[in-house]
Amino acid sequence: MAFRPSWSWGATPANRKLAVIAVLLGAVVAMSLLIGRYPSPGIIAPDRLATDDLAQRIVFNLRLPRILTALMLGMSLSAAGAVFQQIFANPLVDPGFLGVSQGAAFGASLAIVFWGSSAWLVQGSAAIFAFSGLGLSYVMARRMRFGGSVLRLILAGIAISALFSAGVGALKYMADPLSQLPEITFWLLGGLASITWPQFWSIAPVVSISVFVVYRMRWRLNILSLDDSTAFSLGAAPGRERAVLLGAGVAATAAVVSVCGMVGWLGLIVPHIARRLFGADARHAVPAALLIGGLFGVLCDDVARTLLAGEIPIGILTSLIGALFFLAIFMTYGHSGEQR
Amino acid sequence: MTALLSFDDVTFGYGPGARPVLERLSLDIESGTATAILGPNGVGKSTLLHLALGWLRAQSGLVLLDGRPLRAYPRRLLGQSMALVPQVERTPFDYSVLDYVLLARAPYLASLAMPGAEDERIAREAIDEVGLGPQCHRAITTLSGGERQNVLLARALAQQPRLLLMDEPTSHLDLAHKVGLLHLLRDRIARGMTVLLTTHEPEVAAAIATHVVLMRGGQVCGSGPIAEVFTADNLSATYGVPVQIAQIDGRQVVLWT
Repeated sequence: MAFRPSWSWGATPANRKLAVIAVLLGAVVAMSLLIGRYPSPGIIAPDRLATDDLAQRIVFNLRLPRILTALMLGMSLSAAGAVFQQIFANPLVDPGFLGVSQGAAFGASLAIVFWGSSAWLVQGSAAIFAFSGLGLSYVMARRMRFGGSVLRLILAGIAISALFSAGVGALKYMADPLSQLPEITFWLLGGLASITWPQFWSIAPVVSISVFVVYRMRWRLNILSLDDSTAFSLGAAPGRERAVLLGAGVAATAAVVSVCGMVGWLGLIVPHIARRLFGADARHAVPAALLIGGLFGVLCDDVARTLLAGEIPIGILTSLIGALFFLAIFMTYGHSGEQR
Repeated sequence: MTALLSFDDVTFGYGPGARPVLERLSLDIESGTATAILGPNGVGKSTLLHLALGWLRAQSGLVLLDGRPLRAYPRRLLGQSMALVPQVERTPFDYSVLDYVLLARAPYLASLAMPGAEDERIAREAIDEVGLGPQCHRAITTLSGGERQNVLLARALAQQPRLLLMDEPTSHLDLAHKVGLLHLLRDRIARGMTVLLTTHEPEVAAAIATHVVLMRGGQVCGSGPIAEVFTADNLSATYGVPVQIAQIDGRQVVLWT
């Protein structure tokens, strides 16, 4: 994947590190296309790909859309996580916390229980409720009479998430334990098994635009992480700029969650890893989060679809691999040579 | 000649119906002066700075920069004209000193542009001026309170403002940092920078200010050149406790009993 940093500092060490990760990501995507369980578990030899019709169809109609979606999944959650953490000046927030994840979970469960399990219905319902979750959080935050704007949004997000998760609990209780409940459970654990080109194209435009907005506005994130009055004194429009960036982050998150289900931890952990490796300045931390997130998404999905004969829910893997990587990073690297 | 910044009959309260913090306040800050605002806690000193910045808007009356109302200015132009050194600024992220000071260049950049080599030069100059040159790449979260205050000052200087607003600049500083800061400010003031600062320490005003504003009950109860306003009677009335002013080596020291 070609990756051309647009800032004017040329070949700084950070840019070189980014280039290395970008090359690595490209190699992983290419390798992933060849790895799978056809014709036997392992790698398809390139010469076989040239002659075997079925192999071609598997690689280009099944693996390619799935891998690209996994790439978007990792990039979106990580970019949104980086945006949310910096805007709320809180390293513990995650892109789903404004009611988005629980809203999507509720929407998907609702569709599974009441409207059968058409993939499009589940996706549409998840997307609609993801945005409803955000909308409700936002409206509630405006009506609260407590704290500053950021604190109000966080509190409203927590409350709305709790409401939707109560709804998910109720739906699980009502679901048919033999057919619907397993389906809800799998959705809540996340997975890309059902992704084909139509699903990929249904979210690609939203995700591309959102990620582009976040990437272009990344330096502003540093300013928006300061107090509102300070951001204002630096010529920023804190309210408006925050809304644009949050909107982009949430749109990307809602889009990928609607087709992939709940994928935990990526959006929380990857921005931390990016900041650890590149420093807190979003000029480098955001592109780093995008690349590392993409790498995580593709690798986790590779393991999910190839390790066992059956599909492993990707949410389990992102939590497991993410948490281990997280611990490893914090135990080995310090920032800018400083040990705290 | 119009004042650089003026408050014209300004009334401000937090929220509708709330008791006004500032009531019918009028004040002129002339270019090239260093004005210290003194007054008891909660009298509206920080509010006045936020009004000067344009962040808060008066319910009635006008705040004018060069004779034009603040709200007639684009934000970016305000950011080029005025810089704020807040009392404290917390961030959980370990930005490097240089990256943090570079944020000062935002008002000079197009909305999606990022700072370039010239901005970096200006930022480094400001960092050198506050004596943090060697710490340029350190994470701000690892700095001491005094060093962080200097980072905030460096950021304000890199903004190249005509008016520097400072909220209690010395409140968290040890003696050495305080002396360093006051010397730096005195030097800048001598070179023509306009400064408006709030302080709880009358000595700080005595050390650097050319003008003093005394506030009590949301209003200005005295303002003018320091020689006229900085008197024991005025300070006693402002704070509500009797004080005396002693002269030691030509310096004014406020004594209390």
